[in-house]
Amino acid sequence: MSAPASGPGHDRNTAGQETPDGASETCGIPPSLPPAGRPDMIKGPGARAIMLRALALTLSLTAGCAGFMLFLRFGWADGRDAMDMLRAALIFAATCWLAWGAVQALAGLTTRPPRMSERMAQAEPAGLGRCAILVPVYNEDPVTTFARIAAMARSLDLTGQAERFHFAILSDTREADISAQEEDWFRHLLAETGWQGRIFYRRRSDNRGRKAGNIEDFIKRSGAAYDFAVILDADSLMEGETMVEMLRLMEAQPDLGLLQTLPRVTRANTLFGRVMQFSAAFYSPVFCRGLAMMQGRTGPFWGHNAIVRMRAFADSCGLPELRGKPPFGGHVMSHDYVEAALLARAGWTVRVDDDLGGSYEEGPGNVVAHAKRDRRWAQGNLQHARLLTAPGLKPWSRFIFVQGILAYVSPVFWLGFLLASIAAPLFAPPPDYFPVEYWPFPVLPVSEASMAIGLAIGIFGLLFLPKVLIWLDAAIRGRSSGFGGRIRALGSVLAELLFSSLLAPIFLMYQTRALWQILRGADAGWPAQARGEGQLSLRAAWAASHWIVSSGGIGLFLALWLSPALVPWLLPVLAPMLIAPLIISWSSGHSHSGLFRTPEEMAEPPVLALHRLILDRWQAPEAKDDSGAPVAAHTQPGAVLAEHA
Amino acid sequence: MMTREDRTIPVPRLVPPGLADRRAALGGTDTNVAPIPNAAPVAGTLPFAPMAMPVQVLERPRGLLAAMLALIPGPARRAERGL
Repeated sequence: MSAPASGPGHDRNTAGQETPDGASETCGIPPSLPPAGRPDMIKGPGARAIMLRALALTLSLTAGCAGFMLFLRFGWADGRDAMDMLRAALIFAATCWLAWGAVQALAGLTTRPPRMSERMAQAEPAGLGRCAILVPVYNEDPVTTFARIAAMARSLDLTGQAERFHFAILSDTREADISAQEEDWFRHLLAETGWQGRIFYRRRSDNRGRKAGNIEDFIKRSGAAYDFAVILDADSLMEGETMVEMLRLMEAQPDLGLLQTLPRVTRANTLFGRVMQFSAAFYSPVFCRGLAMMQGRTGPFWGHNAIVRMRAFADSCGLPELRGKPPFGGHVMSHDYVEAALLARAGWTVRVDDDLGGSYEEGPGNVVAHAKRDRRWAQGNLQHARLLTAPGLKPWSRFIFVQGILAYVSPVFWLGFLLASIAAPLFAPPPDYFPVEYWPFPVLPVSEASMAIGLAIGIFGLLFLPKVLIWLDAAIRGRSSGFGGRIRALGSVLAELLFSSLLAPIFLMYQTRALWQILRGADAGWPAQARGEGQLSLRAAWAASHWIVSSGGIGLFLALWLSPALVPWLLPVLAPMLIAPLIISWSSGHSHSGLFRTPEEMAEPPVLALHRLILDRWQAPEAKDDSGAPVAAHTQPGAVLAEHA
Repeated sequence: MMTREDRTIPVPRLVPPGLADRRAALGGTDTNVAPIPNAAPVAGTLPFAPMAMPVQVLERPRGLLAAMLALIPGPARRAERGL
């Protein structure tokens, strides 16, 4: 077990605080904590986590083997050929992947988080740590983003612990007009919140390293002034109480390097967005609980809505540029997974607390925006293939890299299986009705259709059973009341299953294209996040998906030509592809359905309500001049926000 | 005879020795950097409190010999620690 490293040029001052090149005690700020936690007490991931990992892997591999055997018995009924072996191998890989997700849900359903009272008892606040709340922005709408900061500042004010927090808006914005607006609205933000000297804004002239580089730049300039940093995205919102609680937990456990929350998706108003929002609220906590049970001390980092120990992060997470050009070289795109692995490598605990509420983000509003984001994530995850052999990583970190890669490779298993099934008749051996020499009567092949049906039921079971069990658990434990009651929650689950079945072939195609582009060397670049994108016209949906329609048409033609008997089996996949533009456009429309209700829709959390009120006022016509700049700021700092207490 | 300037109470030194040079090296002309490190944060200026962030080793060296050297505990442990 290696302790967190001291980088070159470090030494220690009399207080024991490491400083670069002997610089004084964090430039005037006395060290607020003992020397950063030395995780000497860490032994390993824990027996329970290891047992669960082993069990989950065993179950997944068993399910994969069962799928493999069932398919081989079905495929070999009419003679053995290489295509059957290929298809069975693809079924093995796809079933393993599905089973892994299902097992994670089962682990989440069968375990409970520690009670809040126990955790609070553990977390005796030292009350000294200072925390920077980092808000990296990149060509975002400043009004919406800064209104979130105003809401969080107000929320922190109400905790009585606000003096321990500073906000740092770290702008990488390239558009001159947006950056000018950022400066105007920053002054407005200061005037309204009364947080002068505690909210900072700076814009980089060089965007080296993108978001990770942006945060690194902050740490190199100002990191020593803080003990912790809450890292947010521009669309993140967190309750003040949650951030204080995270600070307490970090102070209570000196070896904790990073604490991740499970952010809830909010503010969706399209059908697609609301379905995703429902999934994130209803299913994700259970899947996340399962992940938390297996994480040991090597938990995840999702890049935002998390708190890090500043010194641990600085010592462990300086990212290099990888050799070669993008998409596999250059900057580390999905830096969050790598940073979590590096913290664990240095001996720090990384943990997700799935039961920490008050953490929110926004999601894409339609299929196309989701696919664009997925394209970047796919490139980032595939780039991790370069890091699988990085020195010193924990085995679980390497496994998480593999899992991230499989998330984008697994669609290819299914597509390969479908294509191989269509082409199988071309490779099938001719039927042999007289396999026994000198036997005068024909031997007809035994139908093994029951094997195929059993396999299909098993695969659908792996897909649907976890979601149904999650509903059952929610109904029994009363969690469904936050989703409109048991019946409405059941309706939402069934509708979500139908909706996700419709969308699955479309995402299959988008992910396959993304994979193809990445393997061809195409870089996704660094486009600004498309937030709040909503309604797509049929024309726009067609422009984004006509190639999916063509692919579906070719698939149907080939199936009719080569394997007509297969067409009914393929229709659930081919039909959504053929009407992809209709589905994309329809699902991007505004949704007022009583289904897909979430607790945040039914009772607006305080920080979301604060943000809405502030944003309404800032977006009012009289609040802005012709250029979009705010009119004269309020003269009583903080007075306006105090109204929202 | 003491002049008026001589009687002025000395201002405590807030900038540690050598810090000004490092600030200049980091781009001290940046208007976003506070002139006096975090003594009295001016609205909109980040506290100047540098912290080192050493670059970590993520890739194994190329070539058979280099890869074998990386497996030797000493260099490998240094590599793990990002040195």
